Amino acid sequence: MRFKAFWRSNGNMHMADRMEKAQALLDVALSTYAQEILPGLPGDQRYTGAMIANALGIAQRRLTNPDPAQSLLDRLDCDTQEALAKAIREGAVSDATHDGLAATLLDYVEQELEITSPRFLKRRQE
Amino acid sequence: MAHESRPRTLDPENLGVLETWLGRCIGADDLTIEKAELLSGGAIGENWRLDATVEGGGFQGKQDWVLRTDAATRMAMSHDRAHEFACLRAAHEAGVCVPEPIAECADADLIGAPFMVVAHVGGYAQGHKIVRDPVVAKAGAALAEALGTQLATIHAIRPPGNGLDFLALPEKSPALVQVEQMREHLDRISEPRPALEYILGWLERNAPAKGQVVLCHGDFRTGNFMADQGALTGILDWEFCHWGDRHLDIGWFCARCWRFGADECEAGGIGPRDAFYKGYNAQTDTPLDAAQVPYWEILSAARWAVVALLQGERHISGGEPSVELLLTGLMVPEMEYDALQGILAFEREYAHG
Repeated sequence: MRFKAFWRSNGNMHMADRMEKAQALLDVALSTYAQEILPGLPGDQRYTGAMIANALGIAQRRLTNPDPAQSLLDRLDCDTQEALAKAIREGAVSDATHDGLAATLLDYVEQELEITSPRFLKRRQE
Repeated sequence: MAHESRPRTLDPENLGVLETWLGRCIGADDLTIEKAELLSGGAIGENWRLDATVEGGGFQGKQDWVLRTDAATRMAMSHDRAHEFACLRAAHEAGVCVPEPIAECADADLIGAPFMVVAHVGGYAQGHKIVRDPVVAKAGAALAEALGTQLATIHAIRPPGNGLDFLALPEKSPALVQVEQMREHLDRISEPRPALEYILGWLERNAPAKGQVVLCHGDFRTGNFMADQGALTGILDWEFCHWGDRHLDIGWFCARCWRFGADECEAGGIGPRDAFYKGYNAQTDTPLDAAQVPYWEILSAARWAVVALLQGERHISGGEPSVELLLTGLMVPEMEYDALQGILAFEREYAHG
């Protein structure tokens, strides 16, 4: 019954509150998993175990960080990623139309890496 | 490799069909498989080690073989097993250090998937392990040189013939062929990639002209060769073989994404770039053009990005739910980062030079 009440109340919650709850859930799940489960896994399961921790970490950062795709679209004045990808392929968005396009895209990719592979980014920027 | 719930092909308790087929294939009077042991089952396929005893024919005696199967869904960029086997055979005949090819079976019904059988070679292949091996740390320059020599031996295989006429000859710059293929794959992927589109456009505008066409391994990198005590024992994974530009393999081998974190060792994370080039140039009739390699390293990052996207897509829509495939798909920004940095460095060099 408590669960039902929980979900009913959640249905009326604002998006921001729901995200916060999801984040809190992920935070505690990840830290418990990383501290209590992962170190005790047998050797043949450790690789999969580490991948799960990695996946949870990405999901966590995806929820907390601003959306890199949206800020790229704002900068290049495009509506969707699909439209932007198409415009770049067709040359409608290019170095000729946008100064420093490669650097802008690199900036976007760095923001993505902050979410998907912060350790990779740190190594590359050392 | 991770344990996955995918059903295995071979049943170690029921090897009669395989024994009969293999025996007939190699012209033996009798063939018994004493043991079949699963070595790994990963994103690409399964590897089974076979202990066999052969009576009669060219393989008389005790045999130590490896049977490799296809994955449930095969990579769109790779050949089928029969073609891979033909490439392996051509390389073996040209004197390249490879596991000796024994037999291949295109019939998926025999054991549940197409497969090939090759001689077992000693050592291991895992990239992460090899770049951290203390023996390789000492023998890395010699290993890089040996790999350069081997690559030149592969590139000495030229069209036509060699049993490889099924491979298409590039009609234009092999770099443009690569860009075209990558775009075709991108179009089948649900996720738009603006950075990758930019990188492909740059690769198209800067593509080198078509030069001499050679047999490219197509996946020549650390992780795809076996080494034992720091010495090369066999080059693996011939499924991306094609007629193309020699610098594709050179750039792929040296690209940052294939150094497994050992960034200072520019030749595959195992040794200095100079040693790799030296080994190559000592063996070839056409020395490599070092000035072209940065372009092909950028192309390599894009190519690995597309392969990673395809692997991620296998998780999303290919009916193979797997955290490993999903995480591979999420590696794409790493390759986009390397490619964009490469482009910016390339442009700076040209602006000043």
